[in-house]
Amino acid sequence: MDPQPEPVSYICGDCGMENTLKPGDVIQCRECGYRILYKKRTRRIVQYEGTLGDGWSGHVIACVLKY
Amino acid sequence: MEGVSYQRFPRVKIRELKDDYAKFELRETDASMSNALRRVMIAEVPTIAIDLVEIEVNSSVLNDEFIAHRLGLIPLTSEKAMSMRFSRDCDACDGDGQCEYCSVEFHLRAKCMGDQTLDVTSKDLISSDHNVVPVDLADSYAYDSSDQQRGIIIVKLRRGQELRLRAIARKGIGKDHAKWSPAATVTFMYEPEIHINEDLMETLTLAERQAWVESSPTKVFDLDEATGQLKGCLLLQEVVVVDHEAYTYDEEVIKKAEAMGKPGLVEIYGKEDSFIFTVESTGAIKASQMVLNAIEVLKQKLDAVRLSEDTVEADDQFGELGAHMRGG
Amino acid sequence: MGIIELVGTEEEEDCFTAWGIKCILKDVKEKKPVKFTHCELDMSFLLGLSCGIIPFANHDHARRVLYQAQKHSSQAIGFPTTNPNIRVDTLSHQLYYPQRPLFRTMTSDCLGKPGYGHNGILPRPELYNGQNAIVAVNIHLGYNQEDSLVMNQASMERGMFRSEHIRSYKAEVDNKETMGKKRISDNIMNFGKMQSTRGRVDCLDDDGFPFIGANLQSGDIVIGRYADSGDHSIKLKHTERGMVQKVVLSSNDDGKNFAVVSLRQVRSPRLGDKFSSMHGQKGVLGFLESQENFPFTIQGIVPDIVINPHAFPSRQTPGQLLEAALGKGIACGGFLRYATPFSTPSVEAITEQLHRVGFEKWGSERVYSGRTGAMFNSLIFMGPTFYQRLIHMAEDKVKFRNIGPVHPLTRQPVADRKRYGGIKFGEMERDCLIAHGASANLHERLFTLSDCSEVHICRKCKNVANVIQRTVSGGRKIRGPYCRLCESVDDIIKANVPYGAKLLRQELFSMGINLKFETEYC
Repeated sequence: MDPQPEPVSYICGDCGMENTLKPGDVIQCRECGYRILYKKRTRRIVQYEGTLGDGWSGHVIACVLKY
Repeated sequence: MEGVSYQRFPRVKIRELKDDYAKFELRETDASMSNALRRVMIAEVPTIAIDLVEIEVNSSVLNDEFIAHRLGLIPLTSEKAMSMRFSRDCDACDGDGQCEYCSVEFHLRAKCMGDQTLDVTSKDLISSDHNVVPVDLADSYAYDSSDQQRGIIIVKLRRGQELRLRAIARKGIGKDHAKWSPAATVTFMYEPEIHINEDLMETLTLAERQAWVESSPTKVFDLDEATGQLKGCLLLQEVVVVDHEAYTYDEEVIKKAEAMGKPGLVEIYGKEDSFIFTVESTGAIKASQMVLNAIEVLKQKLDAVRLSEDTVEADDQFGELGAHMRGG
Repeated sequence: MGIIELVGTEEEEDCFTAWGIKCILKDVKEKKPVKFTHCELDMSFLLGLSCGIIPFANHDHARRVLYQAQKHSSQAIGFPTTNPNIRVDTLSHQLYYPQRPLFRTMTSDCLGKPGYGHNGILPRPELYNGQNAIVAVNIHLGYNQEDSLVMNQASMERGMFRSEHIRSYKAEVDNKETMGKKRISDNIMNFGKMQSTRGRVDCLDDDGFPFIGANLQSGDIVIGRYADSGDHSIKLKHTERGMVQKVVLSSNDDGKNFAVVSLRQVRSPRLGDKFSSMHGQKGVLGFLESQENFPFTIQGIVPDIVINPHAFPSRQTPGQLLEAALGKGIACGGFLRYATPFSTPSVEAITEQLHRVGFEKWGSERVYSGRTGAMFNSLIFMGPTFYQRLIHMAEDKVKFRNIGPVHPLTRQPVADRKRYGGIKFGEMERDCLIAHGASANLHERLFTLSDCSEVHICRKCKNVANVIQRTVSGGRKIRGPYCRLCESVDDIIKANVPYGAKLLRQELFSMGINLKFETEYC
C-alpha cells in the first residue's frame, strides 16, 4: 500500500462546500461557517464478495487502492 | 433375482407450459425420484448471478453491502449457465474468477441530475455479454405500457446522488446461495384417488350432501345436476368428483363425514407413483429448461457415483445391484 | 365541552372512564346510573402504544403481553429514524427490510400521518420493527427444542431479518483557538496518521481518519491522534470491527475539535441470534436449514421459521396462533383484517375466512417431507406471523479466552469480554467438580490456570519469609528468601499458594494480624 494521498476534503453539512483542513484548524466551513463537516468519499474501489460465510454480509476480500 | 430389472420407465405428461411456469405429470416412479427432481431444481440447477461488486462511487442512501446484496438477487438470463464453468474450477483465469469463460462483467453508472427521484433499476446494468442480461419481466407479462415497467429497482437516487460500480456475475447453484436458485416454486402432489361410498351417500339428504360438498375448502366435489333422480318427491342429486386434483389432503371432508356420523363416506388415497408437479421459474431460465437441466444434473450426479472408484470397489457388497448400477 | 379530550396520566386518576359505549348503555339497563366522565374511543385504547398493536392481545396471558410490550418491543430492531445518515449514535441498529404486519389494529391505524396514504383517508400505518415470516409449528430434527427456532437459510440469504449495526467512536483535540492561550510547553494533541505500535494504521488517511468504506478489523486504529508525548489513538477493541460508514468533524465554542467515526456492520441471522413474535414468545436461532429440506405444502410454500409446539401450552399465548390463522386468510385476500385487542374477530370468523380462501379451516396444512418427498401423517399448522429480531446477537456475546490479561491486584483473569476476559468459574461450578471428584481438574481450573503463585515460608517460626536483598559477610549482596524473625535462611521452603491467598495475608498483616503457616512435605 503506497497511497499517493490525494488531499483529504470535507463536505459542509449545510452548504455542501468542499473544504480542506490543516492540523489544528478550527473545524468550520469556510463558506458558511457551519461547524459540521463530513469526510468525502474518495475514489477507492471497495470489493464485496458474496457466498462466503453467511452470504452477503459484506465480506470484504480486499480494499484495492487505485494506483 | 437373476435377470430381474429394477428399471422403471417413468412417463411425463405436460399439462401446461409457459416461459416461467410449467405443470406436468410424472408417473410410474416413486417419491424418491420426484423429490430428487424437486430438490435439484431448487438447489442444484446452475444459474448466473452477480457475485462480486466493486463500488467506485456510492452516495445513495443505501450502503455498499446493501446494494451488493440487491444486485446479487437480480435474476440474470442464464441459458448458458449449463455450459459455463464454475469460477473455482476455471483454469483460464488462475482462480480470480474474472475471465470470459467463467464470468460476465456488468457496469452500472447512474447519477440523478434532476429534481425528480431517479429509480436505478436492473435495466441500468450494462452487460458485457448480450446473452446474460437482467431478466425483463415485461417480456413475459402483459404489462400496461403506461405503467413504464422499468425492471427491478435497485436503489432510488435524489438530486446529486450517484452510483457507479462494476459487478462480476458468476455461475453458481442454489445450495451455495439462494440467489443462484432458478426456482420460485417447485412443488408436487400425489395424485389423489377418491372413492365415494355410493351406498352411504344414498342415505344422505340433499341438505347433508350440500353441506358435505361445501365442507371441502377447495372445489373437489359437486352435486351433479344431470344425474338428479327423483326419490319420493325429492330431487336427489348425486355427489360427483369434479376435480380430484383440487384436493389438498386437508381431510376436511373426511372429518365432516365423521361428524355427520357417516365414517367411510369417502376414501382418499394418494397414489404412490403419480405426481403432479408445479414449477415456476424466477425467469433466469425457462421453467421447461429448468426441469431438463435438473434431470441433466441428476444424471451427472448418478454418473459421479457410478464412475467413482469407491463404487467399483464396493461392488462385491452390492452384488447384482452394483452390476445393475453400472448400466448392465 | 369538547367531544374528544386528551387526558394525561395524572388527570386520568380523577376520570371515570367507560371502557366502551356498551358499558354506558349496560349500566343504564341495570338501573344503576353511573356517572361516567369519559368514554374510551376504542376499547383497545386503554392499552398503550406498544400493547395496543399486539394482535389478539386479549387472548394472551397477561405476562406474555407484558413481555412483548415492555421488553421485546424495545429490543426489536426496526428502522427507528428518518435521518440515520447524519446521526452519530454510539450504537444503533437498522433492519434492512422492515415490513408492516398483515393484520391491522385500531392503534396501528392511528399511527402514521393521515393524508399520506393511497387515498388520503386512511392513514398508512407505520412500518413495524419486524417482518412477516411464514411460521410452522412443528419439530425440526430436534433443532428447535427449548425455545430455539429453525430458520430458512434461503429466506435469510434473500435478506430476511438482515440488519445493519452502526457504532460510533468519538475523539476530541484542541484547535488553534485555544492553542494560542496555552503555553508552548503544553502537550498539544492533534489528529493525524502516525506509525503506531499499538495497531494497524493502513486504512488511515493523513488526517488521521480512515477513508470511507475502509474495512477495519479488531485491533486497528480508528482515529489517529498524537501529541508530543506520544500516541493517543483510539483503537478497536478485540470484539469490534466494521466498515467505515462516515467521518463527521465538528468543533465547539471552547476551542475543541471533535471527530466521530462510524463503523457499520451488516449482519445476517446466525445461530444464537434472538427472535421474538409479538406474543412474548422469544427464542434463539438453533439451526439454519436449507430451503429444500423443509416440509413443503401442495402450493410449494416452505416455512421461514419452524417453532416448537411446546412453546404454547404452558405459556398460554393462543393469540399467536390466531394471528397466524388470520394472517393466512388476509394474505390470501380475505377481508377480515383487524386484530385489535378486545374487539378481535371470533375464531369462527377466522376459520370461515380460511375455509373460503381454500385452506383447512384451522390453519393446518398437509405437507410433504422435504428430505424424502413422503407425505407427513399429520397436518402442520402454518401461517404468516409477525416476527421481530431482537438486539441480542451471538456475535456480541461470544466470549472465549486462553491466555490473556489478568487483574493487576488479584492476578486472576479479568472478566470483561471487551478486554479478552474469561468466563467466571464460580462456586456452583466448583461444587459441581467436587461432586464429580474431579480434583485434579478443579486444581487446574482454580489454581494453575488462575492465580498460581509462590511464597517462602520459614518452617522454624512458621512465618512468611520475604525475598530480600541483604549483605552477607564480606560485603557481598545477595537476594533471596530470608526469615527476618529467625535471622536465618535455614529451613525456608517454597510453597505454591494462590496469589489471592498471599494478598489476603498481606492485607491482614498490614492491619497487624499475622498468619502463620503450618507446612508439611508431600
